[in-house]
Amino acid sequence: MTPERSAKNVIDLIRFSLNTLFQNPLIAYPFVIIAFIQLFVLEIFYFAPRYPLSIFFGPLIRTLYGEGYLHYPYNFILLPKMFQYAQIFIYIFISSFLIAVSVATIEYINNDKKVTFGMMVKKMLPQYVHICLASIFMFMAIFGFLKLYGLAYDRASLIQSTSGKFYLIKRLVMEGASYITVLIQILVTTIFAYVITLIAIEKRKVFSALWKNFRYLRTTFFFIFSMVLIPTLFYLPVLVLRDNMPILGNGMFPSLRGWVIVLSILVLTAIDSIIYTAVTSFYLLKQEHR
Amino acid sequence: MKKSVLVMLGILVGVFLLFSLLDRNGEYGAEQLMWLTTHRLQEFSHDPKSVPDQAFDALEKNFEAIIKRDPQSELALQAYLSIGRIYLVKRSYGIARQKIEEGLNRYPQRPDFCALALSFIGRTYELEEDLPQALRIYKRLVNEYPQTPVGLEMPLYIGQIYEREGAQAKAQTTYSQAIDHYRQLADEHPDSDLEIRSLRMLANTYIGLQKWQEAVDTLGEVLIKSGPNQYLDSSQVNLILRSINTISIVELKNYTVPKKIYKEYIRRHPQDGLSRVIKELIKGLNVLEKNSVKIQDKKIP
Repeated sequence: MTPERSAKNVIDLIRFSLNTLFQNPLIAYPFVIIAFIQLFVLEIFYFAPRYPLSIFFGPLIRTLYGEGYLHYPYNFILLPKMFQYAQIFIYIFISSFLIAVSVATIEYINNDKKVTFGMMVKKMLPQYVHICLASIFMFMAIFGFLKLYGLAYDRASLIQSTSGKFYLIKRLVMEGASYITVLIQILVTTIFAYVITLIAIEKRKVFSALWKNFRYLRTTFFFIFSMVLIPTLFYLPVLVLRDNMPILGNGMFPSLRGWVIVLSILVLTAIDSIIYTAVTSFYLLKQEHR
Repeated sequence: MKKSVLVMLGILVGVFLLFSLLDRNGEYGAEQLMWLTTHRLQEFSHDPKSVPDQAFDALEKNFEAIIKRDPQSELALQAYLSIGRIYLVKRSYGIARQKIEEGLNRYPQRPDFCALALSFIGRTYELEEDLPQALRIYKRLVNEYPQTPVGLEMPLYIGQIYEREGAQAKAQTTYSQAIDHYRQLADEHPDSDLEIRSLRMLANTYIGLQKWQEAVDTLGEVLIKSGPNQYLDSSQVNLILRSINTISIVELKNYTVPKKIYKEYIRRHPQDGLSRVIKELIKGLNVLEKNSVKIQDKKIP
């Protein structure tokens, strides 16, 4: 299953990962479940202001955000926010585990072993706590970088220049928030690229996996960064669409915001499946060459 | 695996259909229809002459459907006003009034709606340039619904109409009556949201008359009385603070007046979060005062 050509070619590796996913749908299956869970949660939040879910969510939304967000079309302002918070929990407790299942599946298929989804879930269960801890560390890293960006943003807002390089820096920092956030996510995914692979395949505990991850990254950082960056570029059109959606009352149907989130889920799940398949394939190739 | 993917898709579609069905007669559907129909009406209002009558009729049917769904809901009241707006856009002012009066007769027990409806009717007379009728309606509004948000604004608005028409004497009389009206309302309803709203309108009237000292004193009264009772939200508090500062410094050229108000606020509400902000404001005023004295002391060559 592992690529025959040199692993120095990122594009070849990504292409190989795509082929692997199509030829072995069992690898993609955990990502399908991730997308399903996210879409289901999104659906629940979409119906949260409406009967019968409003019986439970109504008082919560009223207390935390205000009465207005229980009504059309202002519920669509709240929907992305609520979903973003839920995604954190989904990723830590469910998605990261399912990614590990997918990674382990790749290893089994690579070794020509018989594999089923249920079997891989059982095999990964003992590693569940370590996988969750690893994803918590990833989120802490993302928050850390976002905090730093926040400081940079505050500093940029003080720039008085209306032309020249400082003005350009100001515009870049202040208007590029969405893109910088995606860049931070790419960076953190790169920094923690091997962790889930090491926990899933080598059955390492989280700190041991982190340590080995950073050792591997020392020599492969830019390669892995490219491997994460290139598939993520396919998310840019969704980002542009999201950022340029007119504000409510400016001609676009408010429910379009919900559909953009659906598109984001589908695109990001596909991107994640390619990235983790590529990283795992690269890891397995390195192991074979040792 | 294919089966399980189909099952997942089925669950997503099934849940969507189930919850949509369970809430099919709920308020959400009516809100959605309201928003979409109002949005279309706004689009039509840019160039109503190019819009066929059937399109306006379709909008009216949508609003009538909202009223029929739940006649006692807030949306039904909004729908009545929106039907009136359709005829306003079409410049059929008589029909607009007729439609609004239907709502007025149907909901006499809803004072806020009745006040809005009367205000709407008055507006149609203004657009027809029939000021005597418009003023008759506005005065009826003040008499019958003085405590509603619209009713509270009317005494000042009537004065502004007279002023706009060049009837200065009548405008001054109306403003004086408005001042008495607001003061009476505030005195009759102490420690209430109505008191604060009345005092704010009183301050606006003084500002319109350029009676700056009275305006600042009233704004100070609003600030101190609203205090921790939360009658004002943060944007309203900010506006009041800015108004006090601007009027005192620019019009009255007096730094003592706002500082006196702020010190009184701190004295009455020492533990309130706003007191901390106000202490910083006092420091800022002290700095401004010092700098303005320096500028005055500089000799002009």
